[in-house]
Amino acid sequence: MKTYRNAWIALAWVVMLASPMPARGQKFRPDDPVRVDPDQQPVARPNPVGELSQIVDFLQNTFQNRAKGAVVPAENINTLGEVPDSSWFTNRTGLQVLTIEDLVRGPDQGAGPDTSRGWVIISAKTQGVTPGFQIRDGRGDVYFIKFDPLTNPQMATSSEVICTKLFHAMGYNVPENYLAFVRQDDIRIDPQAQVKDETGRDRPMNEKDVDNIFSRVALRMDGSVQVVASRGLPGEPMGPYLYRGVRGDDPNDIFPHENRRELRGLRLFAAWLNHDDSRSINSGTFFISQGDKGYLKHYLMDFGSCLGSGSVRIQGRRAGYEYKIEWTPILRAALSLGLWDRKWRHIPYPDFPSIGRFEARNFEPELWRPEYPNPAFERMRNDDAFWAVRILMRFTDEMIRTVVKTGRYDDKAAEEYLIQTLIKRRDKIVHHYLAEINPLDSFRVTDSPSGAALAFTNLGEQAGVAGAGAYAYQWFRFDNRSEKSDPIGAPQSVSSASIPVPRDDAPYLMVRISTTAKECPKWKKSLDVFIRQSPEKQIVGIERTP
Amino acid sequence: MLRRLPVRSSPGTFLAVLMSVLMFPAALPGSGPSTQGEQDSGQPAQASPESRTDAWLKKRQERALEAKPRQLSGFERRMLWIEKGGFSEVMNFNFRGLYPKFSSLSNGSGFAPGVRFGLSNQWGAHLDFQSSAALSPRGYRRIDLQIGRIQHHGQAFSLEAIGTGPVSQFDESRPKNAGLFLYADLRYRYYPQEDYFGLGPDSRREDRTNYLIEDAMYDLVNGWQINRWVGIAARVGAYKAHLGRGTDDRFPDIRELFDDTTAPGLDFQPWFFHATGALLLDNRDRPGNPHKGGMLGFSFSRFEDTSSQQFDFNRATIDGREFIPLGSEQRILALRFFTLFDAPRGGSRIPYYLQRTLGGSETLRGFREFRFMDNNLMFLSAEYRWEPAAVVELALFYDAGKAFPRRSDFGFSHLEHSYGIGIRFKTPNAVIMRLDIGRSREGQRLFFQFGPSF
Repeated sequence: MKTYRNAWIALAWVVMLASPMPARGQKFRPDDPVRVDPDQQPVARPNPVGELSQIVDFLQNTFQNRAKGAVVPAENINTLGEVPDSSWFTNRTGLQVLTIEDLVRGPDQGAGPDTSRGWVIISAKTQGVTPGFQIRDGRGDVYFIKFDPLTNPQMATSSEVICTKLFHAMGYNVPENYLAFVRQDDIRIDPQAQVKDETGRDRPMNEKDVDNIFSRVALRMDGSVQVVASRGLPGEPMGPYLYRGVRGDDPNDIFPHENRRELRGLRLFAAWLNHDDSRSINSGTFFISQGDKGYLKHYLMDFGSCLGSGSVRIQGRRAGYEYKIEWTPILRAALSLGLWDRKWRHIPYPDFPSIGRFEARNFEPELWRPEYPNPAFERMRNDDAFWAVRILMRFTDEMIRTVVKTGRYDDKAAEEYLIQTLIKRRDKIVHHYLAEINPLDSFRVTDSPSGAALAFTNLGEQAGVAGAGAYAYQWFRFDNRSEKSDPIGAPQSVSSASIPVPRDDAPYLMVRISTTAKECPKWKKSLDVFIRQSPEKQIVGIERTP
Repeated sequence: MLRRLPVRSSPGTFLAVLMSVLMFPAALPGSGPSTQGEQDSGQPAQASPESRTDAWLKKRQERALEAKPRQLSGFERRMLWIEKGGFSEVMNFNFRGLYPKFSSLSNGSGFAPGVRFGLSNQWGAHLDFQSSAALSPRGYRRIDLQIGRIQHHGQAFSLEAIGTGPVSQFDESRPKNAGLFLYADLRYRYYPQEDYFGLGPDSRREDRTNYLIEDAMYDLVNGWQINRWVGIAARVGAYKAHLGRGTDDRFPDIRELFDDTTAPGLDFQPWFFHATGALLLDNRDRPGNPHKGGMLGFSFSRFEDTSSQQFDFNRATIDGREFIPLGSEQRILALRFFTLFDAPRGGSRIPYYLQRTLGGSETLRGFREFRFMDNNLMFLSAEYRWEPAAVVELALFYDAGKAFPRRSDFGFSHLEHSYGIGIRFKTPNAVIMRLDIGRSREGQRLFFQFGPSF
């Protein structure tokens, strides 16, 4: 027995030695900066998690998973601070130009449900505050159908479609959500369709159930109903993902979710769109089968509670301003006998039923909050925010205008209000976070007869946050193994966004830049740029002081 | 993690390593996307450095060894069960319409388990049937039966001429829907330990006695909720009580301290015919958790002693409530005014067991239940309520009221006072439970109640 054991050990060592040796202390690896995280390796099918307890998620994130002390940097980034493409995120806007056509198309692979031959309800939810059902269209495709509340036509459905396209453009995986228009007469019930009765038991669905649903949703002038039709996602549902930790049975999931940059940065996108319901229950993981194995793909889902919509009602006043349980305001209000009051209770909103409660005047991006603490959001550092701001800046006024029009608002004044509000909120986010960090970006090495130069763009200047007075810099030779740096010459300063690169044979150069701007003292925070000199000069690393 | 292999070198572990290597073929040497060699820092070339991609793949191999499915904790499983409707299923548990029922029958009755039987929209028409029976460990018993078109959720507007209020559904938590209702309402009670302190404002705490009341009510109720804000109703029927010896040994029986003069109706309990009409105006924003608006209820009842004419009387009741936001919905001033006048006819008296009382969790909260009673009552309550959080409300309250024999005594002199503080736990549409501590000249009282104070 012992002989066999030794043989196993020996064989293990052989396998291990045959693997490439880790390069000790090497800051930059040969393939840095990586553009793809290979997290779609075929793995065995995990156990479906099933549903997530909202109560437990709320309790754990409110009382247990709060960020304490210094927050570690995001872990799933490349050496440039970018998020590589993965089963979570695809760079659609950040690293490439997104066209308006791409933005409008969003995740849609087709034209939405076929309404020419009517729909057949195959299951429904008639109880509770959120009516909805699952249908099979004329082509046999299955969609989940959701409605607007009676008092707010177009509010939830239009916001869901708009936000789906925006989150998709940002880089997240989202379902195909289509606006569709249907009349009750065009709907039939599958004989097998079931609904849950008042006690939660299944029973066959009947016409009264459809009447009940249509009596509680907003009708258009022509008698049709605007709905959002959400196409079933490919793959086998494996339950929502948490915004903390890793999934125990998914070997591909190596980065704690709270340390994923795209989940930390999601905070800014959620703030922009007032997606206060950005929590685990509105996420989804799907097993994409590849033969007998496969991988998990991660989705953001359900954007009904975005913009001014609270999904089944107008968005609550607290949304975006205070967690469900937040001790400081609770104690203030309790101890002052209620004399201390929340500012958000008194914010005026314009009367647009199709928009709900959404405004920009009182929006303070750094104070925005989801329904309850999100572990990833809480750990967002300024470098995470900078990554998100760069994406946000790609959404031009024209893009915003175009994507809002996909909501097909009947009230053009409401539509224009939404466009302007989104523009203002975007600008507020950009201005706030670009003032928090040295905002230099788009580094590239240029060659000229006078020598190479490191050119860059000051996003802060570009966004009109402030004007840079000067860029102080110091070059270093950088040792990739010891990670020690050795100064080249003396610190210098330039006023333009281009720094001459010294002639030096070191394999790696590093330059530390700080920006002087009277209005933005935090631009002084240092920023290190690393250049690999061989075989040609290449930017391999950017490190920002958060 | 590979360095741990020699330590965990069981065949199973090793097989797992091999499997994970097979699982991640891209991690094998030379098959990764980038494993090119590199000479750094002017140092001599070493073994091929590991690429970032390889490093991440290797991490995944390591995790494959430790992969374990997510296990829900017992607490999480229970919460999920609740969220998926399990709690509702338990609350709606029934056997062919027979439901368990848990309630308290009267102050001091203790917890009274029972059963409820209900059928809705039966026999192809709008006909409902519901019945319940409960029994407490202290011997309290109650049986109810209602048949007809009973008000469903949102339509509640019943009259309870005898018992807790002139229009007992004032605290219905949902806005009322328009509709008609007509039903027979039958009730039997056996309450063996009801308290009696004597009539009038000068009754003494030391005179606490107890008595048994067994009564039956046979009523017909008809009403019309015209719209969400206005409803009218009428109740007619017969009532008969029987009084007996109280079973609470801690206190004397009523007959030891009182007689038919000081406790009218003690010697003889006739059959009563009674009729009541009522009007309710209600514009509270959320009836179960009001933040603004108000309500006003009027009722007028006539009680006829069908056998002796000793106890004929009329009763008029006014109940008004107003909820005033103080610059914010976070701060509310809640006010209540309640008054009741009983007018005996032609030398008649009012049986003490049909008189309304002050004291307890809803009126003078610094006094014991049933503490004051007489032909007339007046009661005022003011609560300053503030919400530190959406689900929590704190309140400072002040109650004042009196029971008085003659209508001419109506006024704000000689009021009993109590004050206190309360905490309430709420949903947006209803107060689920409250804890009120009231203080008065007779000491301190603590009340834990389901539902609002008013």
